[in-house]
Amino acid sequence: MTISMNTILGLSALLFGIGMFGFLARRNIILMFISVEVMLNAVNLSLVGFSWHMEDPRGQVLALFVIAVAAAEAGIGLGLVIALNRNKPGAGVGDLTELKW
Amino acid sequence: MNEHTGIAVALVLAGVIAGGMVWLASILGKKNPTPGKLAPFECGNEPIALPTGRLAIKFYMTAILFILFDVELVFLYPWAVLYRDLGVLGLTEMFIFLGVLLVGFVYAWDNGALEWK
Amino acid sequence: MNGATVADLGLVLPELILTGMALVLILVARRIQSTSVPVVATVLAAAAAVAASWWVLSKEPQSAFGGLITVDGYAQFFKVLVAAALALVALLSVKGLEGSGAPRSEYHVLLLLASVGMMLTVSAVDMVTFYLGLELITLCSYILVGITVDRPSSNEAAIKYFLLASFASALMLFGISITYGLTGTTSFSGVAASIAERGLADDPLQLAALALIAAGLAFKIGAVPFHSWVPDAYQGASTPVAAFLASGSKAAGLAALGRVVVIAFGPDSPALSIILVGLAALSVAVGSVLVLAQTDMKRLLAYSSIAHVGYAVMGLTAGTDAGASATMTYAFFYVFMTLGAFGVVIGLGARGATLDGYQGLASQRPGVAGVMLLFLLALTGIPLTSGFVAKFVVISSAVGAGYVVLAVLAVVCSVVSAFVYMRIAVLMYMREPESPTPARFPVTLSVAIAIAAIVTLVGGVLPRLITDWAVAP
Repeated sequence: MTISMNTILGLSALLFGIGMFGFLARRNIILMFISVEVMLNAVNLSLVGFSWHMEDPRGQVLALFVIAVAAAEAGIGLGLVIALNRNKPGAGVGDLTELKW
Repeated sequence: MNEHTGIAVALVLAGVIAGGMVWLASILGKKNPTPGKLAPFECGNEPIALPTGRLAIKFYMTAILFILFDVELVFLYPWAVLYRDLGVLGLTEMFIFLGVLLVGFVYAWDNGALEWK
Repeated sequence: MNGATVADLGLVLPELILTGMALVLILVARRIQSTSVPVVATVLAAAAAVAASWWVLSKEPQSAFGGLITVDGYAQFFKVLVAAALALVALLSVKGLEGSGAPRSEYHVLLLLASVGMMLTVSAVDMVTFYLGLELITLCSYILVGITVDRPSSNEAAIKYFLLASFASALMLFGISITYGLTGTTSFSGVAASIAERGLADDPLQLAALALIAAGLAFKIGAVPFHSWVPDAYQGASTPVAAFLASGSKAAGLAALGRVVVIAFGPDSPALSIILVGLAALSVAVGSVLVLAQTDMKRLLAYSSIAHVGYAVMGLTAGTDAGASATMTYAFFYVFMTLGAFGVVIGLGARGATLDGYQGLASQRPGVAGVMLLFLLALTGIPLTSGFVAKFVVISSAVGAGYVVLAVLAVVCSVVSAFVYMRIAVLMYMREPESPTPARFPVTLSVAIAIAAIVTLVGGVLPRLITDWAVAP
């Protein structure tokens, strides 16, 4: 069974759109962050799909790097949220109002 | 030998080991039922309380460290597949990579991130 | 495509030096926390990295690791610039971090690793290394911005920066993925060849991918309309971190943008020119206007950096090698003038944080007021400072490419933004002091400011020293 490039791209674009909507619609730091992870996974899906379709390993290599970077990002993000939580328990994006032009 | 035989064997082995452990636990374990233990908890019936409250920070610390060290090992898979082709250079590079990870681990240990307090 | 050999490791010697030093520092982090070891080690590593990048390029330009990175004059120029920024920021941090509660060794480790990311970015000629380098910079920057964990404003800045930057990275990555799907390769030259061969220049999907990549990069360098994180991050971060973001990160981002423009998408892409002209015009205009409203020094320098990124991008609108050289010159001079200005802000401590603190500085500390005036003149772009040379080369490059309106806008905006820089000068020289005389600057800080001042002056008088060296890929 062959899956066309357009199917791969369509599926990943759909997933990417879901993540993007989540990021823009949510007002909870952790949920916004999870939405970004959904976007990254959409990209991974397309990378691996293209890679398989073109029989070229580079896409898979890039996907592996993306996974590793996303994990590092998750670690840093959770660390920052913990630090915020120690200063202001229960803060959401709405409470981040100290810096404004 | 079909190329999928290995997967089937692994599946069967995993099932046997997991089932065996459950079975062993059920015959070797000490049984001391109390009304509290037998009550259905979070099964759609008589919830005792909603899971409110926060988890302690230490769980997050452990989770962060786990994510990092767990996911970075993703690079071992392609290396393992191509192990023979990559030869000594690949082996050296993998040791350097693991060494860098180890430095991070030593740092976490040194600063008490692994202590369960 | 050749596989990597051990010899390739020699070509990334500058990166290896910085990485090695970072690993050593992190192993002994707890034992050197309150000593000056991290600063000394960082400055030494930066000096060694400069020497190593000279040595590496003593041979011919060459690519390494199967075409993932290249070592050429362009990369060397930016590597030296990054190492210089690293060393100066480390010197600024001695005073800048006093009493902030930031862990010194971790701080310097992050500076070192971010610099490794910058060096990787500037020598990247493949989407894989390009992405990894940029991510290494941003991952370290998140922590650097939030490193003073006890300060709520630092937390807040770090979280905002983190959320927006990871979103921008995801956008850029999707652009990279689509480009890969369409062209079947990740190397910059391969992408360019494939676009030409398959006639993808007008393909809507390829244009979307290009827009996504440009948006991600514009976010990294803080160009309008992707600039909203810049003032918050600079104000919330401690001052040396803001200086680092304004200098090293911008330079590396511009270098990456330069390669993408000139090698991968540039030559025959009218869409890219339109995007770049838009970014440059918006950044220059918005940055120059909003800078007028600022009273906090770090926010002021943040908006100033947005405007300056706009000028730097103007060089790339031509899409030619000469244009890229103009951007290189701009990045070089801007790094030193902004680091100098941040240095004075750091030296004045709490007094330097707001505009009012500069009242009457000239009568109290004439030397400090003098160098600050020099940096302000350079930021404005007055002749005989490096700022004039920098603006001159990018504006003439835009004129050469036929964007006369953009050039006129740039000149007008630099006049507009002159008001705010000259306001500080007026405060320093024509008002009576209201606060007590500031303490003497520590030696490290004075050395850093002096280096920045010398480059700014010499660059203005003898620009050929730099412009001859700034040669595009």
